[in-house]
Amino acid sequence: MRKILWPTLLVLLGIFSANGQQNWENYQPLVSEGPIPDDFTLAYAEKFAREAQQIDQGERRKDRKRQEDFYKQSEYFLNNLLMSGDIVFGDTISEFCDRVLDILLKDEPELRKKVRIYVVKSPLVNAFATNSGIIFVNLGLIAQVENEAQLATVLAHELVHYTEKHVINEFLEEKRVEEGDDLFSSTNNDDQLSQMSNYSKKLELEADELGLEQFYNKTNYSPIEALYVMDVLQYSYLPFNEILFEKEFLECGGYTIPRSMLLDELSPITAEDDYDDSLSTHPNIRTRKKSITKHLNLKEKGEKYLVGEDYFNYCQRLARYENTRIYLERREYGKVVYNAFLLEKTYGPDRYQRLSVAKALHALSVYKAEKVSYRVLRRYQPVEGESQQSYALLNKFSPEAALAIATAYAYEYHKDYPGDATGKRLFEQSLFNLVDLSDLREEDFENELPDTSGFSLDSILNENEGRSSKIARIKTQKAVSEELAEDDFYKYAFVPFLEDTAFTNKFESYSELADEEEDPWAEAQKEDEGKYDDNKALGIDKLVCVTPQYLKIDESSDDEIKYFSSRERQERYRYYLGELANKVRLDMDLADYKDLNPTQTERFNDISLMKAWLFERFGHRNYNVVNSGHDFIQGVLEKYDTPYLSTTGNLTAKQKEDYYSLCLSSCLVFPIPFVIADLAIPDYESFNYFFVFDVRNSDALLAEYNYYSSSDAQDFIRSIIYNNFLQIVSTPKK
Amino acid sequence: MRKIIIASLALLFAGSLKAQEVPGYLGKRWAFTYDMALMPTFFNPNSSGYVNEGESYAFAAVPFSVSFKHYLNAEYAFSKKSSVKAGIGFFNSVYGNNLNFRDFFFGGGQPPYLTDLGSLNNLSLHVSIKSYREHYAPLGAYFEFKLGLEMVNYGDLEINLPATPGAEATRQIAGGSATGLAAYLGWGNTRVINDQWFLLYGIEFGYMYPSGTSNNLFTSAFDGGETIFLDASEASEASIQASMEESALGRVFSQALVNFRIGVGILQ
Repeated sequence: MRKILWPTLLVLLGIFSANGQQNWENYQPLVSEGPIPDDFTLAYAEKFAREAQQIDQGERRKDRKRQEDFYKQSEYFLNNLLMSGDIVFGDTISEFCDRVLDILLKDEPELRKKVRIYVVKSPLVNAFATNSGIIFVNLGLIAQVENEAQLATVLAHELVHYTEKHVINEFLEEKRVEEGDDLFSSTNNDDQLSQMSNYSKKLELEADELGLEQFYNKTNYSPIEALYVMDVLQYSYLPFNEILFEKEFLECGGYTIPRSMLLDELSPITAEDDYDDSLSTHPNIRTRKKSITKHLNLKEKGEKYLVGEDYFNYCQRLARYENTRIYLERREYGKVVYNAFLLEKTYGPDRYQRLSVAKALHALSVYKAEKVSYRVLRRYQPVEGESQQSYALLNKFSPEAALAIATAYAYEYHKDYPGDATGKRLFEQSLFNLVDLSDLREEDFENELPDTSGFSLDSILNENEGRSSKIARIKTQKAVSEELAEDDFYKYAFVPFLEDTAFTNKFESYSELADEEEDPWAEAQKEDEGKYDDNKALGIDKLVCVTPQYLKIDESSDDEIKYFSSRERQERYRYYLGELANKVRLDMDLADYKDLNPTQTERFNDISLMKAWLFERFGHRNYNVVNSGHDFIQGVLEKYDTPYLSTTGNLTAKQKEDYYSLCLSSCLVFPIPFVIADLAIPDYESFNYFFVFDVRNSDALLAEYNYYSSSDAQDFIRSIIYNNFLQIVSTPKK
Repeated sequence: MRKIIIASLALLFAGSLKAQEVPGYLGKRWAFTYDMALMPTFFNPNSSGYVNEGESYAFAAVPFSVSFKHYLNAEYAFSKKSSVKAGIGFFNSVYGNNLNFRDFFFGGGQPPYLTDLGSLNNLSLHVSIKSYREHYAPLGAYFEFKLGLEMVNYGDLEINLPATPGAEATRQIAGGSATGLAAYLGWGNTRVINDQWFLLYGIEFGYMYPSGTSNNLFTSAFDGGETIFLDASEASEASIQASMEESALGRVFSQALVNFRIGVGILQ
């Protein structure tokens, strides 16, 4: 008995410690747990060889070639997806999905062993299966399905895609249509598209039907939920809930957003279930519902939850919180604000939501001030439903208003959580941006609420005499908001803070700084003028280099990407990086998924966070924005004992010969030798990049782009890498 | 000569001072190279086969050949995209095949002819600046601007006078030396093999002053050649020597016009 007891206890302890409860106040990003699966560690060539074994050698050569192409492409892109940093394994949500899968496949033990589930950090409502038995579930799906049974329906659908080999069949059908095999020999483009769409829709309906018959109906899940999940898909483009947006959510400090900035009417939700699907890959919802209904016994009652309602709700909350973080990374600030609003309404207010909004307002204010807010905030007109109100407000904020609101919001957060370094950083950067990117100074802001006597506010205050000052203030602000012009409301943003010396001192010092450096960018550019040929000297002796990328393309071949060659060259590139770093005595930690052994899950998570940070940082270009991953990345880089994060990569494309021009030019006698030489020597275009960032302040210390019209030969690549390293390790001249 | 060497060294030294943070190729900024300048000719100016034929007014020309000039260079990368280069070049050849002799007795017999073409050697000193377009010096595609001092030594000539009544006579004219200045524009590419070995190829166009009397490289050695009347008053030793110098300079000028460069070297 004891022999069984101890291991059982250890396993249970392991599960509970691995899936420790999330502290919502201090929400931490979703990370992978447990040993790293083979899918992440096997080399591309090995995966391809494993899959290619399935090709039947008895088939026509053409068909064998097509299958080989499929495995080459699908394993390449699958590998890229697995190593994108967006995939999570062994986490609470993956485990929940695994448990649902256990229920669906309780009678199929062999199949169960083959199927793996990973979570994709994407807010899109989607799930997909690969030919090799991996089911990917997006966080967006978890965030929006109404219960576990609906999730089970989707998983059953994806299982059929795998068991019936839909992915490869669709690829082969596409090739047959494109290349005009047999019946398709005389079809035009429209017919081809229609044919491919019909085939895809047929497979989707088959997946719906067989998913129910083979898996879902054999469980005790409620049949009606399989139908209801179609409604979830129909409205999946909307946020996870529809709640009237309240402008007070964005109010803080002393300002009140005028009601005139709100939309009187919101655009209705237009999604229909019988839309034209003639060129879609999926049938429309009505068709799917009809098909599903035939395979359900709707009189039977079943359960919405078999694994557990609390467990599901926990996972759903996790997915919704994580989505806010993903929206921040993707710089979709309208979605961040509305998602945070929904989270507050659904789960109550917490620090994480406030911090997320502070980050979004801060970043948006910079984009507004730089007059490029269209990059991070969609127009509100096409938005449907309740979230349109939040988009409208954010769109209508002037750059000055956005800067002031971001500063006030960040300062209020900072005051409430003085120990949070990110809050402090957000406030300081926002305040600096306010004085740097606009002409606003302290004297431009009001230091007391507006004189309300003019619009009978006194009477309101009198009415509320004897009530708490808070109530009086709220009443006052509401009255004021009716009267204030849209252009001026933000001038009351700092009313509560202007007697706070910590705030005013910072305001003063930053204003002086901004006045001294009239235009820091112009100054920097002036310094760089005429020095394009000079190298930088960063004086860095240690850094982390994240997942070097390598791609080889041949534009003259049908399948442009050179899959194997890209992988081989990537290995070579990584080798050069290591060798040349040693040569210049640079302590470089090459953080790459490829080098991980199954126990290095923590490093796997670190790499994913670093990649996410870089992804967002590249999006911000030269704008002075604090990265939303600022708080998470600091801890990660501390482990590596350096604040410097770098990434590099190389792209080489073999150009397609322009035979028409060559023929034309060879008509003249003189160019013939050149034409022959041009034909004999392939043309290449290559691009190499190397970036080094200081994660403490998101500064790009080195941004090297090298375009060269030659191949990626050893000497060229090594020369470029060496020069980059030289700039990193060289000590600046005093 | 000494001034040129000092100037070249000063240029290299100045470059080396500026090159504190220049990558070179993996830290190697020096390239020591040997390279050949190949000049294709459709009628070989080195040919001497026709001059000994007594009746070879319509001589047998050697149709196509390649003439070589050899270079030894030291190149130093002084910035990311630029380098300076200094070196010497040399080639040995012959001259005189564009000198046509006439005399009073020519009308009924053979014209005067050279016993052999005169020997010629050229030594050039040059400095150049190279600009690398895409990669870091000294690697990849480059453009080069070169200045050279071309020194020519040309040997004695012996003129046979077969049509002169009486015994066959010869006349000896002493050789000499001349100097020219040349400017070159070059385009090419350099590659590094195994981080050590240097390979270059390219094309170069040059012009020398004075240009002398050039052979026409593409048709015939005699086309446009200079005619010397041995029996005229201008057939003095000095005037024939002036023609010889013109011919020798012309030979060097021709060599400078178009060259294909192929070289190997070592990086340091």
